[in-house]
Amino acid sequence: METTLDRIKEGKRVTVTSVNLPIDVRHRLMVMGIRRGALVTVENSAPLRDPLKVRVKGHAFSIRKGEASRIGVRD
Amino acid sequence: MLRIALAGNPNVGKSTLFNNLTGLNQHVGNWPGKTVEKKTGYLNFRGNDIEITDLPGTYSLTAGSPEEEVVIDYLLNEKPDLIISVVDASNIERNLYLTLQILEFGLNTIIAVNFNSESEKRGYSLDENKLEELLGVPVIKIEATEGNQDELLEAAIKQVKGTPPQIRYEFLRSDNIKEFIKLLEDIELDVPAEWVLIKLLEGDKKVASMVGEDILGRFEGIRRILEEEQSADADIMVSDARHGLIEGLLERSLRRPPIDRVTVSEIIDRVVLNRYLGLPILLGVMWLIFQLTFTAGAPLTELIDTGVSHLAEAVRGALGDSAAGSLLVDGVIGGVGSVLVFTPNIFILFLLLTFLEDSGYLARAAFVMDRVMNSLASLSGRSFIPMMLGFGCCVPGVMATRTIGSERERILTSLMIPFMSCSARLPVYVLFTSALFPVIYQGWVIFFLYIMGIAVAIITARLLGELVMGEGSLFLMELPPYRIPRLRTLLIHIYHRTIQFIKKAGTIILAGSVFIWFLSGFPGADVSSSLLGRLGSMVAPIFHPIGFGDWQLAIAIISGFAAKELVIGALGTVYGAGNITATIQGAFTPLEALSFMVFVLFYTPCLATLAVIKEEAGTRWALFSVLYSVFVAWTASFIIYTAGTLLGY
Repeated sequence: METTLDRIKEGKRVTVTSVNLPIDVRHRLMVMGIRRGALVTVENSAPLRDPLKVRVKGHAFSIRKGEASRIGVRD
Repeated sequence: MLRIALAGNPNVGKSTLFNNLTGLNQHVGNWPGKTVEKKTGYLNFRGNDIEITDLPGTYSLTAGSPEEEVVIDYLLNEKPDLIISVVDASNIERNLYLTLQILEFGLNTIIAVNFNSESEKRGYSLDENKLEELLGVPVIKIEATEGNQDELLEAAIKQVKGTPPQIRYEFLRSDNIKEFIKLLEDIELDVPAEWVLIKLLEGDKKVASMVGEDILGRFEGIRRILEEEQSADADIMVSDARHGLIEGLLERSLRRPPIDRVTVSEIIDRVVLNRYLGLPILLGVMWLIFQLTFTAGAPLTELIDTGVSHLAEAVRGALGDSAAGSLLVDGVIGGVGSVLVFTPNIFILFLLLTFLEDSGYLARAAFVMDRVMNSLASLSGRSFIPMMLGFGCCVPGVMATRTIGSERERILTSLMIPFMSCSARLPVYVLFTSALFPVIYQGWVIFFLYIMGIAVAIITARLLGELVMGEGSLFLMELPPYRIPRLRTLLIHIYHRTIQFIKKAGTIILAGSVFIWFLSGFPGADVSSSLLGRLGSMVAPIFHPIGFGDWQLAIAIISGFAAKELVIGALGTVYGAGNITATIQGAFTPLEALSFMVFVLFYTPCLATLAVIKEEAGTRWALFSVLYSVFVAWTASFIIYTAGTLLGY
């Protein structure tokens, strides 16, 4: 099902289908491994629900829901 | 002398390796024109003099952050003899992304793989010889925490004489590209033509300005053809090429576990980031930092304080009431002493903070507080701990901003921290409220002052953030695995930070206190006829509209510039001996006192704080901080005093 990264439940793994963000932001995401075809696991959300802790290829980092909502994923 | 640079992602153990290679033989400063830390160290290995530069940790080399600019400028202009690309074995895929970008520069490079046992425990196994063979670059497995790094240094010295490898991405092989690369080679840019092309494809504006209009026109044509051929944007194409190359390399050199095991770090995070436990745990950690820093440090601080006053007594005894004696005692010893009393707090705080940072918890604290800081002040969670520390003392608070990755946030946070009511301001609040307000209101008055400070800090961040600094940055912050920090690494780091503090703050405070000593002692011995007294009378009219136009109060305020503790001391001196509470009751109405306290809350960071703001944010922002805070102080006091007067208080 097509949806966006901010809507994914904790513990679930999804595939990135699109990154609809400006080029510099897109670049930073690519460096962290978030690009089309990448497998992303949403591990935790912060106590106040934002940001999210995601894992891509074994490393974990934070991403705010604002950016996550522009990343299309498929589960 | 061989010049070696250490490059790598954040959290790969680069600083640990640097500390183990160079020990105490380091120089820590800032990169010219930047607020990014520059660390250089020296060692001798088997007769070779080596200078090692620890480059700031970055994820990529596309000029986006000041750290990335520093690394790019360094590699372009300084051209080190060798780069050691430090990578994390348990995270090698993303780490190699940076390594490839380094190799694109065409400089001699070796790869040092760290955290091998950690990654083997997780079921990964890297064949470093295979990787070396495939990439054409020496690959050495290290444990950065170990003192002996002979194998790495041997490989480094050997490779200095070798030839750098060339990275050949698939897309560089088409005829169009080859032709264009020839064009680039002809303009002799002193960097590999392939690198220039890659940067152009990535949309790097700086490199675009280097090559000139003519080439840029040709490039646009090439880019269009490429994008059509590959049906992808050029920047994605470059990134895909790097990822593709890495995947190919690792397929043949890395064995992965069939399923990723749940790591200890993930389990800890389920507790530490838990919806109900996350905030209480953070508050507990904050409480502990405060207790240990300001309470456990107190006996040491007292000891230093006593030592300084004994020394002052002894000098006074020996030199008597002469001008030289007074200069030494009140100017030099008083000034240097006021820096030294900070050092136990600074030392303990940095021990704790570095421990939290190296263990991985500091990133979690920022993660937990991000939403609050972002919605209140358009900052990120990384500003939270430095700001909280400001309530204890602004100096360590501002110094702690160094843990913030983004320059924008670091500067904004350093400018906010002085508005947190530090512990030196509390005595002023207590003295004035207890003298002039009924007991039931005293707590409220002080609470109001604290809240006002926080509110102004938030408004400051929002205003400056939006008007001057541009939009907030992303919050792509790594949450590294939890690790137990090594004592040796902690101590070396803290030693350098403490020494740096003593040197920087010491010189500024020494100059400041000698200056104030001079103002108060000349030309007459009496305060009212001294330069300070005259200065007080001169500026007093400025304070008239906000309710305290006496020259004595002006003097107290001027003295408080050196350190806010001095406000009360100066009041004691200028009003002469006697009960200070009674004096205040005679000289102030409650409204005037409130206005005075608000002014003391806001006006100018003390000299020590300014010294560290200069260090973390630069001279311009330090000056700005003075002018801005005086403006805020006067305006806030004016509003309160005028409103109060109109209301009949």
